Amino acid sequence: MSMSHESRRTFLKGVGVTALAAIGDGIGPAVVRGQGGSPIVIGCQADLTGTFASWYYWIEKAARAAVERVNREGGIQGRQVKYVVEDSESNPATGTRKMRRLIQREGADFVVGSVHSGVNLSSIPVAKELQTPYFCIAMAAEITAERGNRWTFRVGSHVRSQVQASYQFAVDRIAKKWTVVVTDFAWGWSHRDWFKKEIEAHGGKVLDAIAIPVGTKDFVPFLSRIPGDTEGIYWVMPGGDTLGYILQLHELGYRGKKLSPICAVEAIDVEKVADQLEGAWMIEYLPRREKYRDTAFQRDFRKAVGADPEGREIGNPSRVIAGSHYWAAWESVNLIKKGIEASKWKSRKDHPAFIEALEGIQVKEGPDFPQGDLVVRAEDHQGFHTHWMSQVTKGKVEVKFEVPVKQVMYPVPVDFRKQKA
Amino acid sequence: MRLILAEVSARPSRFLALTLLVLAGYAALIFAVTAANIGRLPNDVHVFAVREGLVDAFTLSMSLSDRYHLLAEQPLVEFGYRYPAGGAVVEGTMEGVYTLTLHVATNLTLMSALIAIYLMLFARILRARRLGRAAGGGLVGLGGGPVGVLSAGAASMACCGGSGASIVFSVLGVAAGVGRVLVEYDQLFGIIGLALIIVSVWATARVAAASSACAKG
Repeated sequence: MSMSHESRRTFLKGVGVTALAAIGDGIGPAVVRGQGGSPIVIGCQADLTGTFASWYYWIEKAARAAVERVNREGGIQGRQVKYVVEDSESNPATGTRKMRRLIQREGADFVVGSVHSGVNLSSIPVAKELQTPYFCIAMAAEITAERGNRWTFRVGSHVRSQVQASYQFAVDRIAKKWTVVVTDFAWGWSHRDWFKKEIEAHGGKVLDAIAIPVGTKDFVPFLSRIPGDTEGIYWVMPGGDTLGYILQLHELGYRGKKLSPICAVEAIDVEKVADQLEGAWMIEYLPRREKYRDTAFQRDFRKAVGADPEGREIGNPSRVIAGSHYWAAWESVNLIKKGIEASKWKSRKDHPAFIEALEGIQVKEGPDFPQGDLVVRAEDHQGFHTHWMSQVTKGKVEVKFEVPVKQVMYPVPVDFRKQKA
Repeated sequence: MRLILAEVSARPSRFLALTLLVLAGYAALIFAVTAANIGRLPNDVHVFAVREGLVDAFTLSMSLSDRYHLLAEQPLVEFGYRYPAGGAVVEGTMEGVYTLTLHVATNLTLMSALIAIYLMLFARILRARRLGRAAGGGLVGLGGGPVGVLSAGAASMACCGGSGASIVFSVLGVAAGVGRVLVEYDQLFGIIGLALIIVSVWATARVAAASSACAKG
């Protein structure tokens, strides 16, 4: 039986559609992928367990809430965001492996990183190898310096920014003669070296630098070395070590000035050691208390993440926020969105354009960037933003003044633009 | 080598028991140093997804050196102190964490097995009760052995608990920098320790062989 002309046309059309569908898994999605309706995949290299779990609890909440908000508002360029999470277990080897899983197995187009410096540093080469933009949350200075590359970005503050934000006030208004007390590992040494350099270059003097082994319980042998003419102590210590240090410093009778980055007490409920911390100065990267950044953006952000105005978990006030870190994840997701829109990113082959779009980008405070105005420096991909000098008064961290973005900027250490993206 | 194999195959359960005993000694030392580090008993144990890690190390795409590094650094288990809710330290903050990795576990097991062999050979010498012409070698075997054990112990402590070593040295009045040196050069100390224990085993085997020959003679 012969086909009519119309039947033949219909038949051929059907064959054509069937053929396209049959090769769809091979060629079709490669054409469709990265365009139209397929989701953009943002991976989160989250420290859900292990040493940094208490901090990343908040950071992951912020990243997740940011993605949910983006999707509620229609996605990015009409495409929904698929959010995938892998647990780094707060371990560099595991974190690096999970970075590969996120990209190679989950198809992550972008990755928001761990808050663990060791995880970030070991994952940075993987970001370059697998050509995936990597948004670091940790604070090792080397991330946006000698150990970074063109695929890495950092929205938030780190050692150099914190010292840059504070040294002038420290030497002008707090003390001229300082003793630096740090934990004896990379983070402590970094603060010691940069603080000493800036203080002594601007009219102050560091009388001594005391490095205390991690996990020390008896601080007295070290604290008794503090020179008698010390006017101020700059101290940097992680987690539970801080508690022992501030209690014993107080017991020894020290009532002089104290200055530290807020990281030193990020794991401490300041109200519970009000006497010991009374008068201590702290550099904050986002005020722990909402009243000091009382904008609609901040209120919405805190509500989305589940933090109350005093910096505690809504419904569980014993849980204090990692206030100076969690916002970086929210803003990293929104920076990704900004970069996609600015570069008209459609797929991974547009990553070079995405990277170029972010180099030197300046964004204004708003729902996407509730921390404040942000500049991502073109050369080293480091974000610069407002800091705050705060002081502990009767157990509360009270902001005294803002440190503007320009004052936080330090000289460029490296130019990633010399590398091919 | 023949003597070592003969000794181990003649007394396999003793070899196994001695190995486990030495391994338990290392574990106890690591636990004690960690507890001293924290100032209290650890209350939190985390077992890592080892099977997943091993599968990923062989199935994810990466260079050979990255694959080796991933395998070597695969964490197995960690323990430390987790702060409870309600105190001055934020709920869930962890302190004094010790992480056992695959390469450390392998290193410890190898060291333990070698020390077990050394002890078995030493016991064989004592059974023969004669040193004879192998007196010089005996001194090497007998003297080098403890040095090898100590070196292996130092190396293991360095790669397993460098910060803990710092605490211990601080308490003993030795500069904390010594602990840091151990951590920085832990691979070197490991190699030195391994070399020393191998030399000790070899020397002791020679003495044991000579002692056995004398005893038969």
